Amino acid sequence: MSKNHLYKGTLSSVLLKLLSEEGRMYGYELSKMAKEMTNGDLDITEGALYPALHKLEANGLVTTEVEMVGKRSRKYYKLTESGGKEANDRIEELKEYARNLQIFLNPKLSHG
Amino acid sequence: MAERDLTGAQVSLVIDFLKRWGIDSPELVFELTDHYCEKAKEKMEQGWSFEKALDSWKTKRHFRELKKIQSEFEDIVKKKWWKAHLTAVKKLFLSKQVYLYTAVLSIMYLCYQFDLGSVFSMVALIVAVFSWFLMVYLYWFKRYGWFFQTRDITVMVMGCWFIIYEFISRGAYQSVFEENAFELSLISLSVSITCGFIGYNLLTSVNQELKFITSEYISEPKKFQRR
Repeated sequence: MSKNHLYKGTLSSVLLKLLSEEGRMYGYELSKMAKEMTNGDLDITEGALYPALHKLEANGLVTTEVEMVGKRSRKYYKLTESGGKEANDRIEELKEYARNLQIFLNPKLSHG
Repeated sequence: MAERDLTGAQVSLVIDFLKRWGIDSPELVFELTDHYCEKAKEKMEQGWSFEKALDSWKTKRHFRELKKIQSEFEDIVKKKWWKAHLTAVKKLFLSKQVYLYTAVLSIMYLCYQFDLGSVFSMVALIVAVFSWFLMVYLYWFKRYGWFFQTRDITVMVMGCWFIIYEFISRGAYQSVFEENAFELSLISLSVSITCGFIGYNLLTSVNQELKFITSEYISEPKKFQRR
């Protein structure tokens, strides 16, 4: 079962992270990879994915390029310079968050 | 096995579905067409027919999703539009051309103040004629790009067209041939230079700012119209 609610608030960070690893990706590829990496937990719907990508583009964190693929055009997203820095910051934030969550879930480990 | 792409008719059905389900912006249509075509291909690899995949999207959930994408995209475009115009206005007052514009107007008014209006008119006419030759040269060597990129002088050069026009239309050339002084109209020249300065700068700046929003649409508008 999809656990999308647990990822709420981290979507743009996830997208930035994927783009920082893969270089450039198109919308469907991003959603597919996120799903595969999380064993189906993170199922990004179109209604969440595209507004998030368009916001990242409007904020200058990603840039786009269009290529013809077969009979249709494909829009690729890739990080800008500021997007790369933002991705690094967000990844650090997420790691910090995950560490804190781990401490919260296993209080004994934090005292050990 | 090589991956099979959808047929032209199937791609058209996806486009039709998107348009019927509320996607108006050409940019979104082509982006989501690619998305749904890939989605359909994946389903077809699992043994679904294309029609079944298409029908599976005709749900209320999908309708809401697509509506959300369209409305949020419109919000972003609106924000970009306002931002682009504000940036253009800011650029107008920060460009080097402000100094040139102020200098030309100041010299013009000082000349008229000290009864040197005819001297200014003659100088302006010489500059206008020189600029005209410059434009012919640029046309001949196809260096328009340089001309329009060098915005610090473009408006003033464009203003020269007005001077030449006024010189001819008011019959001022007759006074030159009769060795009399002639004067350009102070008010109409000021108004034309100001309008040219503001109008041209705003248009080019806004165009530059907005270009990135619709670059794909602008580059291939006919493709979207055909759809």
